[in-house]
Amino acid sequence: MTSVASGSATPEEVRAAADAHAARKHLALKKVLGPAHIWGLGVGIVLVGEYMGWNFSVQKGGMFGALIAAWVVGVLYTCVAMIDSEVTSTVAAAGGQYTQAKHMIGPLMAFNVGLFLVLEYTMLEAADANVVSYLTSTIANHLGYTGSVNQYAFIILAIMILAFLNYRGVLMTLSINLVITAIAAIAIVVLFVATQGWSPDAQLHFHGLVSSHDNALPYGWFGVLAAFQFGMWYYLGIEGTCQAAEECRSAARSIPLGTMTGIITLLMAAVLTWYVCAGTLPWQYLGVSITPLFDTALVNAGGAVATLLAVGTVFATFASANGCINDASRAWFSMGRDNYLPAWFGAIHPRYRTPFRAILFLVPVAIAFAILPVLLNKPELLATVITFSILSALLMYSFMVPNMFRFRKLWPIGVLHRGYTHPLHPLPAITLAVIAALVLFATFLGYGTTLLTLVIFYLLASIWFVVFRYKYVRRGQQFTMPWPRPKGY
Amino acid sequence: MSTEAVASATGHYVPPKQSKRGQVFDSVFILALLFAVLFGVTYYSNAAAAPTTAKPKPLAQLPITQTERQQYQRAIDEGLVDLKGVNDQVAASTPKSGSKQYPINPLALLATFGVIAGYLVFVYLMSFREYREVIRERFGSPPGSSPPSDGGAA
Repeated sequence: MTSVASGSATPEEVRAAADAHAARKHLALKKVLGPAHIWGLGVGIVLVGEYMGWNFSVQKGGMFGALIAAWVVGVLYTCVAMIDSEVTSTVAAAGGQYTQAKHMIGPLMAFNVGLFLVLEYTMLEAADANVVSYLTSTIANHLGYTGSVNQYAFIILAIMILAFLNYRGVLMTLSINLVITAIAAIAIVVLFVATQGWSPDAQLHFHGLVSSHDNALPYGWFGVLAAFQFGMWYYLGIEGTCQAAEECRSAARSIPLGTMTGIITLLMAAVLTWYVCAGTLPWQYLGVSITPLFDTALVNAGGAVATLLAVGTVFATFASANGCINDASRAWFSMGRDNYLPAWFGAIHPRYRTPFRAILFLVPVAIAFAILPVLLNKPELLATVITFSILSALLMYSFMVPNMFRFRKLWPIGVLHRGYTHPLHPLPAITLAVIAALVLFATFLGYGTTLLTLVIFYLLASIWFVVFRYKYVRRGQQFTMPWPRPKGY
Repeated sequence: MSTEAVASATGHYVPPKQSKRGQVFDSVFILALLFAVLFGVTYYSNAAAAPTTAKPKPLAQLPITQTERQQYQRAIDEGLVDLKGVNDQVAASTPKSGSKQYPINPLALLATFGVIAGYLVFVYLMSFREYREVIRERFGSPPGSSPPSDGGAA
């Protein structure tokens, strides 16, 4: 940034400029995060799924289909959290699973995993921003405003403001995420209390579900399988905690603690959400609702509780978009740093210590996909954008299976210091593989074309990487961990 | 746009330095690929089923349970949905007979999972090959083997 004119500068100035240049060359991301921030990042990205999106699984498989999906997909994510906790507590670097892939599988897989991460989070961010604009309209109407709300303005504003927050520093960004996520999580518990959830017949009514098999499982067990796709929404993004590993004061402590408490929080939130919504709204309505928890509060509690859930919905949506910007930019930045993408993206802001170019570059992508459903006047395209995110995540989970096997094989227990060693290996990895395959099939049932197109995109990008991009990558320098030679190599 | 790759004195691969123009081109290319493929699919995605145009039936005549009828009434009272919306939702969620609910085209299934399998095989095979280069350059040749003559450059 600072240039030195050799003809006019004094030796002291030249030395000072050289020192500043050297300092910039060694700029690193700030290590300021603790377990609570990691919890706020992981749960913050995901909790919006309880506020909206999970209920599309009701449309696919009925009320019980959605509940079974919550449990089965919950097992998938528990496996993801266990595997991530072990590997990331050892591979403490920005990029998370991308960096793991570099060290365990190889460069092309790492490039793909980096893209999976970027698309998963950018598409999720786009969906969040789209919902923010919808929420603004809904809340304005409930407050008595009868005019129309310009959705474009709210989408662009939401993304720009959150990108600016991310640009300015990770500590402030994730501290805000922690606070608003906690409020959104508490709001769900308050709704459970307000509806007297401990007494099922008081305000909640489940007779519609248990009186007839057709109501509980309207599309049979095939419907249950189809529901798995949107069952992902209960937990999608919890693995994003790994992206912050390089910015933790102690990744070995913060990542496992933040991730495992995060998935526990989400498992409880998922069941509570299903329970209060299922006891309040007819499944035919619930399956297409945009804001199911807010609707439940409106019908069953009203007043202050409904207001709290409206606030919770907005906060959860902002927390998710905020965390997504954080994670997508870390993945993009990491690929730039390794020359997998142009090196320009690998820069760290000299003052705020954030991957500012990666943050800014992804802003128009998020805006474009967020405004697309509005632009084409097809609100249902939101589900397609969400499916891009879900599928990218699924492809990444399928990578985590061989990744885990190779991690234990190349560096057996005892060879490396692991901050956390998950129990029952290889059961979690095998379980993850089976459930991920089932969800992939479920996605094919509803979004076969989207699935095929996304895979073709990744295939084309892979060919581009091999033919045109990999030549810029230093081979040995990709292996950055201070580990011994992998066994068998 | 770039200088040629060379093998250093230590036999390590030294990549060419990419010019600024090359970096801009690559950034634009990956962005264009993203928009061309994903934006295109989204644009041509099928629209949702058209809502029914028949005169809406009252709640009492819809094929739903008594509890659902009460729940719908409360939703209508709160302004969440109107009677026409209820009719549309009930019609859209009525199960279709046999395999029509989730029809599977065997050819589409084979093609999709064939592409996925081909993609995964390509990615894993290339990755493992590249991984050997990385390890060889980072840790040197495996014990008992002769060092590569090309420095590991692809």
